[in-house]
Amino acid sequence: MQEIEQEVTAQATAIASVHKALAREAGDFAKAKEAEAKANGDAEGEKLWKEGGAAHVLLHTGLGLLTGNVAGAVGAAAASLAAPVLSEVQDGVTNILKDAGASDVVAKETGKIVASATAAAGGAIVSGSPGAAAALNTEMFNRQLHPDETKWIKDNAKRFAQQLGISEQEAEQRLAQQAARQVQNGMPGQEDAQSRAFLSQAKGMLAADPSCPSCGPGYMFYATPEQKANPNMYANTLSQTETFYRENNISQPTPQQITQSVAHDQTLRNTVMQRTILAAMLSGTLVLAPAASGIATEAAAFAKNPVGYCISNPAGCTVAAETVAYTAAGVPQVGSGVLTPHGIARQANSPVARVALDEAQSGTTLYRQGSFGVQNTTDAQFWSFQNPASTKGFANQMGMPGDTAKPDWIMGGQIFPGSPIITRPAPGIGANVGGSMEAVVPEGGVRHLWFHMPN
Amino acid sequence: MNPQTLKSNLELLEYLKKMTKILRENDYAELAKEVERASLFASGSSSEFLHETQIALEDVIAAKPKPIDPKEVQSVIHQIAEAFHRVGGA
Repeated sequence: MQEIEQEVTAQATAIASVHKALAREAGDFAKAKEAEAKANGDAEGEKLWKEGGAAHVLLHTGLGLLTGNVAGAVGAAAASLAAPVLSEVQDGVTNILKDAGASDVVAKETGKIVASATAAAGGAIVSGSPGAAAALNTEMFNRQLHPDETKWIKDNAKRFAQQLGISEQEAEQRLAQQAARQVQNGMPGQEDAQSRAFLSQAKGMLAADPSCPSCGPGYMFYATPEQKANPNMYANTLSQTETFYRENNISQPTPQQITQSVAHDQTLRNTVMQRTILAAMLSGTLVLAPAASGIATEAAAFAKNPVGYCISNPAGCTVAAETVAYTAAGVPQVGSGVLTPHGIARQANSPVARVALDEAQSGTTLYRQGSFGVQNTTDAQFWSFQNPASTKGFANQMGMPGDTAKPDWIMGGQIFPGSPIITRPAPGIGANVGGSMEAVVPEGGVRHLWFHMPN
Repeated sequence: MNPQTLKSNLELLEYLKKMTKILRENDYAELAKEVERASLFASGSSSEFLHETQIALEDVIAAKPKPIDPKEVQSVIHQIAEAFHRVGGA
């Protein structure tokens, strides 16, 4: 099994590395065909192969399939291609892959896939190739950018460019690449905090993907861990976004990058889950709410005896734990706690704290401020309901003595739906001033993060 | 340096600054750095400030630096625990 995985990874890497070469070859191939048709006085052929022509589009559609854009590429255009043309496409792709180091089998089968897909997109009937499909590990492909997201970037790139004093082209590229990083596992490149902050201005949900009912709704420039690892979500829109990807130099991540990213995400989620469970176990409040009557039997068994359940059923433990911890009906809210470095933070019972809890659970923005190299950011547990940038005397209101210190950054976000959270007054020694509400969440419990660096 | 009863987080911050200075002057550079680090959290969140201070002061007690009275430090840790207790937990 391991050898197969290594083989698949090696082949996929080879394929990814030649994607650019393939695109270039495809362009050259189309140009040659266009010139050939022109020389032969074949007006119809010339029309087919010119930029934007059906054959030209279909060839790139086939390449889209090769790079994993499986579901979305089919149906991008409607035209039939003659068998000799498909054969040339197949041979060309096969040779390029061979030159790049792919094995004969994979190169040949992939060539078939591209030709088949190209034909399928045009309505031709060509048999598929399960062997190559297996070689092209579909898990290497992730949630794609939705056309609404690419449109938002194009519509707002000028404003971002003006803010930063950069060209509109650079602004669009930075926004596009950061957006891709936010929805795809393993996208190369460094986090771009300025772009993230700007993208956070885009609010709202995206239309659900009808070809992927299990994906759930999408959010502007945000994907859940499951969506980030989903190969199908919005793949059916790739024909609309392919140009945007190409213009902004967005390449698909390598399998290694994806694997590392998924592992990192999983570790983070495991940490959140373990801490949540531990907190509940320590506080003795891991109980199901009355509304949880419909919860799975396993989850109920887990909740009743977490340790015993996990010892006797290690495989089911993870699922049950997540269900208990994150299913709204099953999450203990008031009276439960969130584990902090020094014990369990508990929900305050004052009306103000209850209102704050409702607000946080409804998705109100939570804020933090801090200095580079000091305070935590993405895994922070303590959050404010007030925006430090617009709240006069923010530090004093939150019970902090450092009002004169200017923060390096301000960040915000919303809690994950169903995540444990408690609200309480910010603590202080003696008769400390302040005491505004703070929210305490497990590490990594806040999503839709944005960052701002005050001038 | 007599914290006895601190009146606010600001007084706690001043206490940490003084302790940092004393530790540094007495060749406890690493310990001084740790206490100073805790004081930097004062500008982020009061919970984090108090938590980090607890951690640093517990390390001070464990290291037993000569110029610092452990009972005094223990008293400050107790006051921090009280501050959390008032808001319902750690």
